[in-house]
Amino acid sequence: MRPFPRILIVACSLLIVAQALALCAATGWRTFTRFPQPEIEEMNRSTGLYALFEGTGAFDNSPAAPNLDNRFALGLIPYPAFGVEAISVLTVAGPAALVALAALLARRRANPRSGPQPSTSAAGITF
Amino acid sequence: MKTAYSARPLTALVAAAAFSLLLAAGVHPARMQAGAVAVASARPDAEPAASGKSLVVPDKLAKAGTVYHAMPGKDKQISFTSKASETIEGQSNRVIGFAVAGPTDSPAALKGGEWHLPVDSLRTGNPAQEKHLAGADWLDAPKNPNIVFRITEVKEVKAGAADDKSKSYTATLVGKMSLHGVTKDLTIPNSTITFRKASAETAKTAKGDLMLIHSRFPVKLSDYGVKNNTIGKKVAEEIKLDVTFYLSTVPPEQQS
Repeated sequence: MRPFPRILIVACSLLIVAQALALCAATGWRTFTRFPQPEIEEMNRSTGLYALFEGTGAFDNSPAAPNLDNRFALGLIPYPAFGVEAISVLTVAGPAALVALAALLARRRANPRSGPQPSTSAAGITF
Repeated sequence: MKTAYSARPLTALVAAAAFSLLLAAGVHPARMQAGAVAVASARPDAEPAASGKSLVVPDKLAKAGTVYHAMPGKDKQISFTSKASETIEGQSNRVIGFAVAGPTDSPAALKGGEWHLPVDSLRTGNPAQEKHLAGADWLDAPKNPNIVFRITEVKEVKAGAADDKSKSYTATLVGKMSLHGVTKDLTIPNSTITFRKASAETAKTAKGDLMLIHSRFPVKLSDYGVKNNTIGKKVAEEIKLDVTFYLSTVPPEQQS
């Protein structure tokens, strides 16, 4: 393979790996991928009930349970199910990393074979 | 060989007789497996009302004191946390139920209460995980659609913070919890029961006098027959439950 396409393949693959890891980091390093759900949104939307009892002593022994995070989060590994939950850093970055590795290995393999080429000028052509 | 063949009809006959005896005794074969260690309940579970938003309060309890009804579809009512190699959190606001307040001078000495949490209403943020949670390997929602909490006694009631709008009590709740077809006794210390009288301020949020029961307690999955290879690894053996039941004297069907 020519050097330029190979470098391009490696660079693009590594970019995909870096972006997947960055998205995972930005969304909280979750183990599994999460999606926003209307039911969680409904629970997180305050109806005012909590406010009515806040400061009455109702939560003196233990604080109220925190809201569930209802944002998309890219997980590190796929949830063992066939569905959108299988999208993860591993399933996105894994194939990209393999492609990068394959491109790098292809170069290494090509190098010993290519070696010093015999000079055509030394082919015994005489004038 | 001849003896073995002749024994078959006899075995079948005995099995059929045992089966019909069980049916006659009102034991559903499907319940035998999960409910083998079930504790006998004093009364059957309350039935859901036609609307599905509340439970029908048994007559005896309804006459014992002021009835407060859970308000599903509003704030979260149940939260659970499992902390093992990964943290799993879930919530539901689909709990239906009621509590019957004690006498006027000690309303927190509840006369009773019952809540039904539909297993398939638990939300974790991962639909596949929710499906697994409700599946046969976990809480088995098709066989046991509800987690049922029932208060049979309230002990050690101590008055807490109070003002002209509200009054709070600390108490130990004693009752039973049914999960995965297994019913076990449950004692929850340090629970708070808070009452708030209806006012113009509360009316903006909910009609009627209000009550809040707030408790936090652990539940050991193996106690309820939930056995799975991932318990102790990905899922904690002990799940932390947070209960925040908002209740009103006006049933949810009549809330706006």
